[in-house]
Amino acid sequence: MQASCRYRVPAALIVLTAVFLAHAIGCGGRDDGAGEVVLYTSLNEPAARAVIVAFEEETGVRVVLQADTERDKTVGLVRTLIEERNRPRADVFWNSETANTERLKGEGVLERLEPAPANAALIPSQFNDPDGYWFGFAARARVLIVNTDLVPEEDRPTSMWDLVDPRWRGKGAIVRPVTGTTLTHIAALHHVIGDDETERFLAGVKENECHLPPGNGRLAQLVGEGRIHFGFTDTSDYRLVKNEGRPVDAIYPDQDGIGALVIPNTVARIRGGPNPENARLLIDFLLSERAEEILAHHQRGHIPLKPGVSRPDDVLSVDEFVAMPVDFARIGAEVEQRMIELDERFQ
Amino acid sequence: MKNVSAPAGGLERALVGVAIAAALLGAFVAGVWPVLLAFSDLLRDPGRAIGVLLEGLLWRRFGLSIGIAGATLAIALPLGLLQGWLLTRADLPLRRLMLAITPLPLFLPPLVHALSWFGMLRLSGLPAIVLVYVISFTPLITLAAAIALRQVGREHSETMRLIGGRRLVFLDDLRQALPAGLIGSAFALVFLLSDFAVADFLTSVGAKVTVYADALYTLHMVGRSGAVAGATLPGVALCLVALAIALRARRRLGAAVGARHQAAAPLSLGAWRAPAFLFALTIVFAGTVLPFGALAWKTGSFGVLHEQFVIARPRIGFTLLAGALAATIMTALSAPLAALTLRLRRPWLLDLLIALPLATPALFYGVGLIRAWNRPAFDAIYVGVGVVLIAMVGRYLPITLLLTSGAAERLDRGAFDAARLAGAGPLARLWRIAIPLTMTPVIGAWCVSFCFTLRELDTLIMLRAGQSSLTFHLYSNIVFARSDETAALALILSLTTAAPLILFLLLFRRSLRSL
Repeated sequence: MQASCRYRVPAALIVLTAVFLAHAIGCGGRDDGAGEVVLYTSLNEPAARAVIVAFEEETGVRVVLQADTERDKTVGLVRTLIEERNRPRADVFWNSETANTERLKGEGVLERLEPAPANAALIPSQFNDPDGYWFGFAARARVLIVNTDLVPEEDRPTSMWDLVDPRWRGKGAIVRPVTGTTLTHIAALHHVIGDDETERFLAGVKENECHLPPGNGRLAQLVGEGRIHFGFTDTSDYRLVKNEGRPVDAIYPDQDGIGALVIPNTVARIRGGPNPENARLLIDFLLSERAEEILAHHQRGHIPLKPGVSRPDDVLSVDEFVAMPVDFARIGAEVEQRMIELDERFQ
Repeated sequence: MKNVSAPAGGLERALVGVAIAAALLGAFVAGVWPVLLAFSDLLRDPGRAIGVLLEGLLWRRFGLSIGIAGATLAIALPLGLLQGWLLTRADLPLRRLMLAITPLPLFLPPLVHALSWFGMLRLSGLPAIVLVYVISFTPLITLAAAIALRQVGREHSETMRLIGGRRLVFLDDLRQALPAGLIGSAFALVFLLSDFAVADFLTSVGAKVTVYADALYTLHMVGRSGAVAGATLPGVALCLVALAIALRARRRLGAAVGARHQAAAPLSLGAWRAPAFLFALTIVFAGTVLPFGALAWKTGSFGVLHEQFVIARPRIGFTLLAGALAATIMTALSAPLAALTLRLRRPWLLDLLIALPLATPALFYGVGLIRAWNRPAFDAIYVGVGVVLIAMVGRYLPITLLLTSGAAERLDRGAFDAARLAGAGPLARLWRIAIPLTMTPVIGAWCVSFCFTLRELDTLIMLRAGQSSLTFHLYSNIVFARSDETAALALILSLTTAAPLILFLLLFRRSLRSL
C-alpha cells in the first residue's frame, strides 16, 4: 500500500507538470506582430493600464505591456532597451520623465518621427524634443508637500531654499537625487540658477540634514505620516497621499522667482521596432486630448499640457502657476554626468 | 566510500554519459553562457572596468555591505543553529509546529518585512537593516541546521550522552550542524549582497546608507557597461567563495552523517526547558507571527484579500506554473549533475561554474540573458515563458544541486552494486533503488527550489513574460497601491509559495516523521 502511494505521487506530479508544460507552450509564441504594439513604460502597470484600455478600445490594436516598479527606478527597462538595440522587441517607450528618454536617444535606441505626430502640434514646444525623437504630454510638477498638522499655515515653506534654511534643520526631505524626476530637477537647476547656486543648494541640503528617501512616493508617504515636515515630491505622489486622507498640502515653490519645474511624460518610437505603424498610432493616441484627460482624472492627476483638456479641480493647468523655463534636451545631454557627481556627493 | 561500484556496462555508461552531458549543457546554456556574455563587457571596455575598481567609493560601499552581512550572520548563525537544535533535538512543547512554520519568513521578500512591521514601529538606520536581514535569513540557517540534526543517529547520541552528558551531546550536535549552518549563511550572504531595497527603505529618514548593490544600480543607470562589469567582480568573487565553502560543507555534511541510524530521541532539557521554550517562541514570534500578523492587520478584511486575489488570479496561475516547471527542470538537471560531482575527484570547478549565475547580480545576469536569447532562432523562447524558465533554472540550480547531491551522497552504493550483480539494468536501479531512496529529499529540493524561484524579481523585470509573475505584481503596487492592498498581495504571495510545501507536508508526512 505504502509502495503504491510512493509511485502515485510522482506520477501525479509528472502529469501535473505535463499539463503545466502544455499550458506554458500555449502561453508563448503569440508574438506574430499583427494587430499589436509592444509598449515599454516606466510607469507602474496599473497607472499605464487606464490609457492602454482606451487605446485598445479605440483602435482594436492589442498593447503588449512591459512596465516597471518604483523600486527598480527604470534601470532594468532602460538597460533592456539598450541591450535589445540590435534586435528591438519594443515599439514604443513611454517614460514618466525626460532624462532616460534623452539617454536612449543618445544611445541610438529611438527613431525620429517624421512627420511629427499630428497630436503633438498643440503641445507647447518646450515639452517636445527639437530634433523630433520624443514628445511630451501629461506632466507632473515638482511641489513641496507639507504636513499641515506639523506646519502651521503661516510657517509654510514657499521656496526650494526653505529646504536649506536652518529653521527647518532635520525636518525637510528630498529624494536622493540620482534617479527620476529629482535628478532631472537638480540638472535643471544648473541651467536655471547656475552652477554656483545649485552647488550652494546641494551643500545646504547635506548641511541642513535633509532626509533622503528612496523615491518621491515614499517621501510623500513619510510627510503624510508626519515623520517628515515637508519635502520635494511630484504632484502625482502628493495626490495619492492626499486622497488617502492624510493631512498634506502641496505648495508650488518659488512662484515669485524661478517657478516650479514641470516634467512631462515622454513618448518615443523605438528604432527598428516590429510594429512601426501601430507604434505611430499609439504615440498619436498618447499625445491626444483623450489620453491627457484620462491621465488627469486618474488617481495620480497628471497635468494636461494641451489647452482645454478636462481635469479635476485640484489638478492645476500649466497656466495657473509659474513654471520653470527649461530646455529638456540640454538637461538630458548632461544628466549622466550630473548623476555621477550627485552619487558621489550623496553617498 | 566513493566509486566502489563494479565496472558498468557499455550501454549503461552511454546512458549515464548522455544524461550527464545533457545536464551539463542545460546548466551551461541557462546559467554560464549568459553570465559570460554579460562579462564580455570587461573585454570591450577594460579601461572603465579597471577604472571603477580603483575607485574608493565602490570599495567603501562594498565594505559597508560586507559589514552589514557580517553583522547579520554574526547574529543569525548562532540564533539559527540554536533554534534548529531546540526544534529538532530538545524536548520542547510545540516544537514540530514551530519547525513547520519556521520557513514562512522566507516566503516574503526582505523589503516586505521592512514594510510590514518596521514601518509601523518606525525603526530605521543600520540596526534596523541588520534586524530585517536577521529575521529574513535566520530561518534558512535554522532549517539547514534542523535537516543536519535530523541525521544524528540514536546510538551516536546515546554514546555522547553517556560519555559527557547533555553538554557533550549539545556540543557534538552543534559540530554536526555547523556545516549546514554555514551553507545557510552562504546563501543568506548571496541574497543579502544583491539587495539594496531594504537599506534604501530603512534609511528614508535619518542618515542615508548606500550599499554595494545600490552602487551597481547607479552604474547601470549611468550606462557604462564596462564599469558595471568591473564593479560586479568583487561581489561575484565574494559570493563564489561563500558558495564554494557551502558546497564543500555539503560534502563534509554528507561524510559526517554517513548512513543514517534510527533518529535520536529528543533530549530532556530539565530546568532549561522553560527558558529554551521561551527563546524558541520569541524567534518564531519575531520572524513569523509578528510580520504575518502585521500584514493581516494591515489587510484589514477578508474582502480586501478576496478582491486582490481576484485581480491577481491570472498571475497566481502563471507564478505557480512557471515556478513548478522551473523547479521540475532544476530537479531533473540536478540528478545527473549530482552523480557527476560524486564521480569527480575535484568537483569544485563544476560547483563554481554552476554557482556562478547565483553569485552574479540578477540584473547583470538579465543583461546576459538578453544577449544570449534575443536572437531570431529563439523568438518563441525570448518573448514567451521559455526565457523566464531559463532565468529561474540558471539562477537557482545551485540550490537544487546542493540538496539533491546531499541526498545522492547518502545513498548506499552497496545496494546498487548488489542490484547490478543480480542483473538489474540502469533504469531498474534508478526506478527501484535511487528514486525510492531519494524521493523525500528530492521532492524537498523541488519545494525549496520552487520557493526561491518565486522570490525572483530583478531578472524577470527585464523579460516580458516575467512581468506576469506575482512578485512583479506585488512590487508594482508597493508605494502606488493602498497599504491594505499591498499587505493583501504579500499574504497572497506567501500563500502561493506555501501551497506546494503544504502539499508536500501532507503527502509525505509519514516519510518526514521517519527522518
